[in-house]
Amino acid sequence: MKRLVLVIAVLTVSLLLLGQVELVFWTAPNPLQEEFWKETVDQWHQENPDIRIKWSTIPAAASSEEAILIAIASNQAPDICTNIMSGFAAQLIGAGQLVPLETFPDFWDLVDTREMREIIEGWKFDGSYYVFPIYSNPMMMWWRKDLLESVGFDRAPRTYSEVYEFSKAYSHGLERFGMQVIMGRNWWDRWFDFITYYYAASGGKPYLDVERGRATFDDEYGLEVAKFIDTMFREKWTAADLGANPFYMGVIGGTIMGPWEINWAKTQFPDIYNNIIVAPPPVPDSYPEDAPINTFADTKGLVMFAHSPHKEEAWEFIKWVYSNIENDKRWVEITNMPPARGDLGTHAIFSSFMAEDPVFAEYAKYIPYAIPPALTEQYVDVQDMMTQYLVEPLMYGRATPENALSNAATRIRRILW
Amino acid sequence: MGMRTLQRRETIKGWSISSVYLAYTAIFWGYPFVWLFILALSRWNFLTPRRFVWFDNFIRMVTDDVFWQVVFNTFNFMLYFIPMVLGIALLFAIALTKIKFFKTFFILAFLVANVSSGVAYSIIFSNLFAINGPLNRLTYNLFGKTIPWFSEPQLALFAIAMMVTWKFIGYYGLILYSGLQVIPRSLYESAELDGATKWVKFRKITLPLLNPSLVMVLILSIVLTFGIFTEPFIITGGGPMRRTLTFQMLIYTTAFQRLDPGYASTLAMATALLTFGCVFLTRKLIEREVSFV
Amino acid sequence: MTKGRFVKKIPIGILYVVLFVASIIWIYPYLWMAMGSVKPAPEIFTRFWPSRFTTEHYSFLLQAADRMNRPFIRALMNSIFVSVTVTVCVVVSSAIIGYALSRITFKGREKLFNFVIFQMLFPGFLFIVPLYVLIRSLRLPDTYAAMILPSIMSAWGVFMFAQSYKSVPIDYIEAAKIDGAGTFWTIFKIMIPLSSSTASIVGLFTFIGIWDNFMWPLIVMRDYNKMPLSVLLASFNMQYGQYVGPILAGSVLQTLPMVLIFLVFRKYFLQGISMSLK
Repeated sequence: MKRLVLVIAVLTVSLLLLGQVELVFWTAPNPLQEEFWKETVDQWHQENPDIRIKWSTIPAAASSEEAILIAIASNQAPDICTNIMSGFAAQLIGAGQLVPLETFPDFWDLVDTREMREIIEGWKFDGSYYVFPIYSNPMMMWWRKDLLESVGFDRAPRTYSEVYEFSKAYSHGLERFGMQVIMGRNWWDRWFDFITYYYAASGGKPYLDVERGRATFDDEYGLEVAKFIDTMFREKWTAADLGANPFYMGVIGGTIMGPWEINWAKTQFPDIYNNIIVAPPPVPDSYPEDAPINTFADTKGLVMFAHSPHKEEAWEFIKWVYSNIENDKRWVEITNMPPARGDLGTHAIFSSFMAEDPVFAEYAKYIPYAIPPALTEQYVDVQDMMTQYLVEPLMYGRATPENALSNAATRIRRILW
Repeated sequence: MGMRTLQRRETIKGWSISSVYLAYTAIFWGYPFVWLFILALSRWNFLTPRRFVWFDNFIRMVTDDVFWQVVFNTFNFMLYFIPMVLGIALLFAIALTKIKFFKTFFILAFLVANVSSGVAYSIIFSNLFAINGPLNRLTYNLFGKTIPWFSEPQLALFAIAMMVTWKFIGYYGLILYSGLQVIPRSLYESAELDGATKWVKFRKITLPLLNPSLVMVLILSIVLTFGIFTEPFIITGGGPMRRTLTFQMLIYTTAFQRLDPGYASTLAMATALLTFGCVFLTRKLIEREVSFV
Repeated sequence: MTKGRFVKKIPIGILYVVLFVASIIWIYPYLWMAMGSVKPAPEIFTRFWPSRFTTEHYSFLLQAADRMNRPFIRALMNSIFVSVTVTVCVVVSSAIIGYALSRITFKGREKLFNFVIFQMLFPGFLFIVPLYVLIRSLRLPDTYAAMILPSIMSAWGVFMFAQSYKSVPIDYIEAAKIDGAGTFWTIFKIMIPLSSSTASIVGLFTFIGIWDNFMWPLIVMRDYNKMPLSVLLASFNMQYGQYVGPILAGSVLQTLPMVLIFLVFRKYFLQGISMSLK
């Protein structure tokens, strides 16, 4: 009897499932984004019971890009996926893996709803739009106000000399350092250190000339940045290994952070969060005082994979998420990442949020000065070379700033050719 | 039933059982074996059609800085790992022959490290050796210094060698211990009659008669070195300065991050050849015929 | 001369002390892991003996399936399922094939046996990439089969059983044959019980090898619900490095089955080690 009930139950469930479309949807492995998507997907299921979203984070044990590539190689790519940066998109487009989104009739309506005609132009590849931009994160310096004050600084250091001055006063043996200069050993960490510093120092010059296949960062600005990194390490004002959460532990006075840190800091270290100054990255001493400072934009979008058997349904889902401004509002509240919308500064929904959260407002202020990474398929190799021949030699004192810079530029030229 | 039919029945039985194994082996060993060579001669990215490039991958390999860096890393690793593991394992084995009590406890204490899971113990050691971890806390309290175990290039390689040593001392120690136990007591006794010192006995009796076990341990640790993957993958990602990049990491990243299975197969073949070469050399240089007379 | 005398005079007591201290150092990483998994988060790095014990990290793991799509308990079950399946398959298949290669006389047996030894010469990593190509063209990635199929027969296992059967007296087999016993009856009722320690050694080492396998499932598994614990733990460690407590609790889950099995079967483990000499 029990068995019969079970069989009937299984049959009914499978019959119900047969009428359903299942979309595989991957998002960035990040707790805050997961929170947003979990709610969003649940809500979608309530409203659209016949299109199931099989949602998970990108199953990455190293980088998301790697995980997606293996999935494609195994014919297991999802239908839609977020967390796609431009260089990776270029790579996927080159391999014929993505769907041009303007083929959906109401694509431009959605673009207009989010007022992102201007933004989406930056994501045009060969005349098509394969990526739907979701957010754009300017990278900013966080400084500990209490630590700055402890050595007589009443504002954030702006120039390298000011950083040196603070570091000299604050650093102490192996316990305290001026700031974290290098963010890690992975290729993507170069976005958040060298490239960020280079954009700031050069007034936003591109670091690669993709068309002509060469590096452009080996100029006077690049040299200033290299000298800065070198000085900080030689003077022991920073270190390669700073332990867990060094900023909150008071090991360092400042570091580069993305806006995703805001909510985490708010809950984990509320005392320290109320004591931070958000500032643009440091610039060379010669940088004009009144000029705005550029920084790096960590900007990611959503793509649909060409093999997907349910493109229409997937597009329905994308439209459903992004045509509703409430979703963008919830996104900002949960993740603190500025959505890629043209009306971020003007729409009432966002301005009230900014008034409440000055840290987020500071990030939003720098969106116009935040520049995305160079559009090359070779981003991993390029940034590996930056790590190998530029950043690490400077960290460990194995090369002079001049040599490191020209070595890295030569290596990168070889890759891009 | 004649002898003939019996024989034939045995043959049928033997082959029908073996054929299951052969069929399985053909699929999961033979097919990859053939594909290894096909891939090594091809350029492919899993997605677009594969094309033959003959020996391009091999030429690329000998001119690839990263490959030579990994060769260097591997031998550098052996230079740390093998003396360390051999020395401590030998001491452990000798100590075991001297004691009467708690033998099982000591054996288990050292051997339990060997069944630690690669992922878990990599995570544990990266925490133990972290800049704010217990080990650095200790050195800081004792000497006022911290050691950047995994962020200084040379130290990172050494730290991984230490971890692997930790894992394998018990295992290798026991191999040496069983080697020590088969050495007849009488040899030592007659040497003592001749007035041999401990050191002389060790050099003239123990070491030569332990040769098979020593060679065994050496070969195991060489093969192990070429197979290291989990520790650097989880702890250092191959850095800093590519000093902890191993053959397995390079093969994995080439095949599955750069989607270049052709070059990865070439690297795998080179790794296997190097392993064979080292094992062969060890045998040639160190292995001795042993007789217990 | 002096050296020899000096060595002789080291009291055996000191040796015990040294060995005890070394044993503690060797067990310490396990101890730290186990302690860390029950300490409150801020105390993991700061004190050895916590101010209080907590199970919060374990309940985090239990909830992680729901809250963050990281099914740790399921992953543990996956690991157990895959390891047990492979172990049973390897022991049974090796026991049967080992019998054919040692106790059935047929033409070509020697060659087959040599082939098995030849196979053992090749390190597993050599085939990782082409094996992935195979699994991919069979459309098996992301299935349990991808983790199980490539390991269900083992040249080493066959070799071990064949060697061990060789020492079973021929009379036993002849007697069974006279009683009209079939081949499989002979294998399962006579040969395996007589080679129980070989069976345990093959089983134990296979289990540990599969349980600890990381690279292969890392390559073939994408779905969090089918991942073995090793891969789920590594990806969690990568993405949520700041959650040290749950990571340590996960490491305990990953380590504990191996340690338990090791302690239960330690006799065979030791035998296996001394056999690797031959």
